Amino acid sequence: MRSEALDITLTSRKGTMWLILSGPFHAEQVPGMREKIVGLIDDGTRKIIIDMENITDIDETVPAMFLSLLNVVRGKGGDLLFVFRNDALTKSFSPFKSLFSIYADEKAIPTGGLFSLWRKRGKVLSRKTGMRISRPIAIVLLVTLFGWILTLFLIINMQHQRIRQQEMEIRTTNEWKRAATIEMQKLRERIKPLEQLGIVKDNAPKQGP
Amino acid sequence: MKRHAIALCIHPIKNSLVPKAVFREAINAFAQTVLDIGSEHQNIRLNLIMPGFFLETIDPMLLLPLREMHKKGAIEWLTTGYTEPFLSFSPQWLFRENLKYGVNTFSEYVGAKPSGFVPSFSNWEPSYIDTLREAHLPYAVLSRSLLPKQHRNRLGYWINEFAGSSIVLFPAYTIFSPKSASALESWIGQQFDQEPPSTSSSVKLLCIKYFFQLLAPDKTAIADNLRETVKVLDKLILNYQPVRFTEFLASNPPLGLQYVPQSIVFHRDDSETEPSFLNSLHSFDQVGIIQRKMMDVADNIASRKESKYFEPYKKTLFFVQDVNRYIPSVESGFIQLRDRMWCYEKLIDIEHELWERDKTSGGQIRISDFLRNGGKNIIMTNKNVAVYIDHKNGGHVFELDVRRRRCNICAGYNPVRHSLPMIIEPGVSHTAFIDHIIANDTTAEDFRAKRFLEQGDFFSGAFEYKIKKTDVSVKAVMNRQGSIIQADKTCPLSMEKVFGLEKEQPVLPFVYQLSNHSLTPYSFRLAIEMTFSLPGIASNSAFLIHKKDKIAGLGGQLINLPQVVEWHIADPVCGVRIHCVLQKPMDMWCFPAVDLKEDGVPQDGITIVLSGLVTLSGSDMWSCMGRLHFKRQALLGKKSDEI
Repeated sequence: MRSEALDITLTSRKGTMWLILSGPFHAEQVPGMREKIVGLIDDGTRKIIIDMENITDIDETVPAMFLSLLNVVRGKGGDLLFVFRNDALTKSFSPFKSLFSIYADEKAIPTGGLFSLWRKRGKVLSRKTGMRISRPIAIVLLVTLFGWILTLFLIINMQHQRIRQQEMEIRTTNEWKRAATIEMQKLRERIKPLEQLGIVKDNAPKQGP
Repeated sequence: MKRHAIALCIHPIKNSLVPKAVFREAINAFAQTVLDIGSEHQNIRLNLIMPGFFLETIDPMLLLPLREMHKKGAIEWLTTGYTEPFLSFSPQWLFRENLKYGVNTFSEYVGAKPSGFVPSFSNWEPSYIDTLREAHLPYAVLSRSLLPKQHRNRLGYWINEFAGSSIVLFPAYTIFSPKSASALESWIGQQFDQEPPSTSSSVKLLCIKYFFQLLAPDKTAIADNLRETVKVLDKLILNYQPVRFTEFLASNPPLGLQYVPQSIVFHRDDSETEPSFLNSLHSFDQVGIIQRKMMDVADNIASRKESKYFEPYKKTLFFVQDVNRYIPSVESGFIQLRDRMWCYEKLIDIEHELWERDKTSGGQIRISDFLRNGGKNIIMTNKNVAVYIDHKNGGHVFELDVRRRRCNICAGYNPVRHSLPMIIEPGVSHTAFIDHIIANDTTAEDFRAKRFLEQGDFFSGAFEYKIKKTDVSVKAVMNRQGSIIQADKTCPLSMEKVFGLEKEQPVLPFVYQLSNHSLTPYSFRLAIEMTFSLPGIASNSAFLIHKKDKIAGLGGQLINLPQVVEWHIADPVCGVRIHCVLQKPMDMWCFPAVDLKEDGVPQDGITIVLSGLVTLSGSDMWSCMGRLHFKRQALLGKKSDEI
């Protein structure tokens, strides 16, 4: 039957809803598909990735249906992403390609960066632990954590400055020592003839080998 | 003087599943027998037929002299593929992969590619000619039963043509060990004498296919018989030259062209073949479901781009597509619960691995033509359970995989054949959640003996469906505006049937809701029939628990538990315990799935009926909720590594 030709898989991968379609997408299937996706949106799903790589034939009313669904989901702060690269679909979607987010494969879909990862991780953790905290408490905790980190940096900076100061002192002392050694050497050179004549006696203790 | 030729093909066969160690011992004994024959009879030429995985199992110290024999030209290798694929039942690409893998295994283990192809059970598919040619296999050996009767006694080879492609066919006579050796000499003479006179003076070829039963109880007698057979051929060497197929092919012309349609020889020495054998197979339960599942998994793997990760799964699929898992016989085939469970175990294992690889979470729901009959099926899956629903035919659950134990608990054998070839026939097939509307006074014994009148059309009618999915659950809601017979009048009744999977739990919750949209009051009995396959029934280790009573002997009695809300069925053989909890009390009837009067049919399943009286006044509604929890039961004994 034409109204049942399409294979549908609904699955969650890495916290995102995937709708995988394969087979011919006839006009008779458009209302049913619309109903399914609207059902998902009504159930709270906001980001849906529609994989249509295995669609073999597509009716011209299908992109228009997705366009209206895109408006619905974006109106609720969500998004519809499409994954395909086959020629039939590319041709069919070409008038709307600036409106849809179309990716060649799963790897090409942007993951959303570090913040998105944190957000997801946060969700997973809260789901796993069952712990929920209010926003002010979260801010206090964050400020405290930030304060701890700031204090740590201050302590490190103070230690760093102190080490620098000590380094300077050591360097000055070394300079003085070098100058004093040279001065002493000069004085020693001066009194050497007097020692040879026996006018001045060398009372300094002899150093061992 | 011109000598006619004899090609002796030795085909070691292993039809049933056996532990790897047992198989290793048997195949090594066979290899040793071949080596003994090679050293005793230097002038004999043998054609050895083997699946690739046999070579992997043979001791390398025995493979080395076999290589030497091949180098000397004493043996020619023929193959069935890596395993013995059921050509008519397998996706084309899977057979191609199987054959390719088999040919590569030969190159790796015996240093030579096989020269010919031998389809098991002579399962010939002319559309595979190109695949064979791609694998550089220039000829195939088939049973002579596949030829038209007037050509069966011709001795030589034919050219088989199909859609512009052609291949050489050698028709073979089949000999079973161990009874043939003594009369072999006269039999050979007879075959050459009875061949119709020919105008050409070409050399005749008698092709003998000798089946060597690897797992027969008396292995020594079988090996001796093969030795004796070869001895007879050696004795006749001045009259008939033992040949390898390729050397005969190089110097002799074909008998002519021969078209062989899709066929199979169920019994290996059968003179009559059945052209519509697939119809015959599909008139049984289970065989089609296993095949469909295999094709579903195969399609899934074929669609994956990074093929290197999926090679181990393909190898497992090669074993599942083995013809011996399907063709029914005394020791193997789909009739044997062990074979069915083994196939399901391997397929569910692959599905689970793919599931993990896809990082799927929170359940999946698929609407696809799983049964490949033009309709759609609903497949709900999570990490622990998979439920396959046929909404077109009564909303039955025809497969229920307990993934933790890698088993399908709806895999019971049904001896009753379908009226037409189809995968599942409503009212005949042993599935789960079949909804019968029956008279109030129907007893358990009446139900077991099928002495009841079906008053509703829900057991086979089509249900409309809706699917729902959230991050953590999947749900299928089926609805039918049906009818029931009340006081000899047909009255409307709607049934809503809901199945769901929550998170990754091994639980199948279900809800039934019956609505009377008329003003007429109804009174009837709803009987929900579920058939489960439990391997422990045969060994009497499966048991039923109700309250604190443990009831054993499920395979031989009718159990009637009135007004229960909870029961367990446990089977330590497959390691599954089914825990059913109902929201409201219902009668529970439990009896063997296969009638005890069916002689020789294995008892491997039970039918459970949840039955309750339903009274609906005008515009009233009745509902019942329940859930099946699939828990793990301690396994009885260790699972063996069967191959």
